[in-house]
Amino acid sequence: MLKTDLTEEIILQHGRFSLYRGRLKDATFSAVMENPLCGDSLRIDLKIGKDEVLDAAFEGEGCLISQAAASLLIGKVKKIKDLKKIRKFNEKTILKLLRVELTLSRVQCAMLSLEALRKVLK
Amino acid sequence: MLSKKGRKRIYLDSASTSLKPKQVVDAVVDFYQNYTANVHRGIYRESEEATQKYEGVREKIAKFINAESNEIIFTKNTTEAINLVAKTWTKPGKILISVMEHHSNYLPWKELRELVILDINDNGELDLTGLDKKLEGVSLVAITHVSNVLGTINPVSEIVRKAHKAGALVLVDGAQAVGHMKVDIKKLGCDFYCFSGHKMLGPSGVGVLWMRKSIAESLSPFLLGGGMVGQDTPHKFEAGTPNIEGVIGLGAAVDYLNKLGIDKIRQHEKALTEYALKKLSKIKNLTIYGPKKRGAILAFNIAGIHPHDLASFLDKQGIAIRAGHHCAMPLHERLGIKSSARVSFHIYNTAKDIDRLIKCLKQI
Repeated sequence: MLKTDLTEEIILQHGRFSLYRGRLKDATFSAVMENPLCGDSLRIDLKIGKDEVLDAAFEGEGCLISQAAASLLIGKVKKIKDLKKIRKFNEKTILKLLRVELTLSRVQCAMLSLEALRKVLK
Repeated sequence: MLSKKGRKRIYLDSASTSLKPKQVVDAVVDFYQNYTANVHRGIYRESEEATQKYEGVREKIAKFINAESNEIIFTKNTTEAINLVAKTWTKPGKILISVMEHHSNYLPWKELRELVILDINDNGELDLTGLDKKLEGVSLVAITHVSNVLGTINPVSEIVRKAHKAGALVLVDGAQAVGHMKVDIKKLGCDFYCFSGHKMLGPSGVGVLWMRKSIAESLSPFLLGGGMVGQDTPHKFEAGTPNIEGVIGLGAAVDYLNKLGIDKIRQHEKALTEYALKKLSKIKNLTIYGPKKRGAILAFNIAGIHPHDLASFLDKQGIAIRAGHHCAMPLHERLGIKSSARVSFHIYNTAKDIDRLIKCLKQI
């Protein structure tokens, strides 16, 4: 196993064994986003009620950062629920969730989840 | 190479770009400090010196690959060299490429022509069975000399013989070969040969297209502008002010490589690659792609670990490797993977670098 500190341990957990991984049977909207630079892909399913998210899940294949960011983001979406607030999520939201310093190329890995979320909310 | 903190960094990404020796840096600085001027223009000392040095490199490059100096065309890089041919050489027919091509020797053809694609065998070598049949209706074979992922050294002479017999010309992408092993275009027998300066210890922004003179004479210019009006090849293909300092730096790189001896460089890299192959193959769950006999390039994957994560982990340990599809998506698709990790060497790498890589990989 890669040697890590606590933050990295959280990323490992989310990246590998996320609770939010899977598909929603009754999803209102879904979107797939791919990173053409590395081929990583991410699918986000949302079940949406009136002005709020009722359920969310993701599925994907990719590096720890992209998968952990997706897991943390879905967790936050499920917690916040309010669509207006969720639409305001930005790069900072993701970086704050990951709590680990990323090099420029790895920031792109992390943002795949944000792009997928934005696509699904369109 | 030292990190900002002064710790020795290990650079294992020379297939992407090589490090530059002091002699190359000095040559570029010397141009900037002592004789900056445009080439082929001024009737004054600095311009004449710049022109002399610039044209002198053309001769050096020609000698380096056993060609004539008026057949050496300076481009931006290998990609531009291949695009130049794709856009100006218009003889009708299909283009035969292989599944292991870098995007630079795939996309320019895909856009304009019908493609025939050569497959690889399980060993990562070109599958040449039925090549004669595949050559039917093909006007050009565009093939890499050394794969930038598998490291495979392709049998260019054999392919050239068959292609010429079928009436097709041959273009070779030599980006991963020149500076690593002896390249003799007369022995290879091909018609076009392209390579980049920055992968052979030279500056970036300069590449070379070697093209048989008889072909070059028959082609229209690629770009139009200054310095090419009324000119014959090679100058008719070099419109606008060229990358003068880049070319001069490349000349210094060729001198450096010649001084070390290209055969000695190959021996060194071959020994390193064999050592790395031996060590890597002992690591649990690690798959190496490509044949045993290869250039100084090794792509691999460790089961359950994404190459990006591996590269980030190694970066923290002071080791630079490449991760991704290395601009060879068709090959990765063929291998059934999305991406891979890649280490590659040049003259400055040692067995100690590999030992440290192995030590870090064992921690995983």
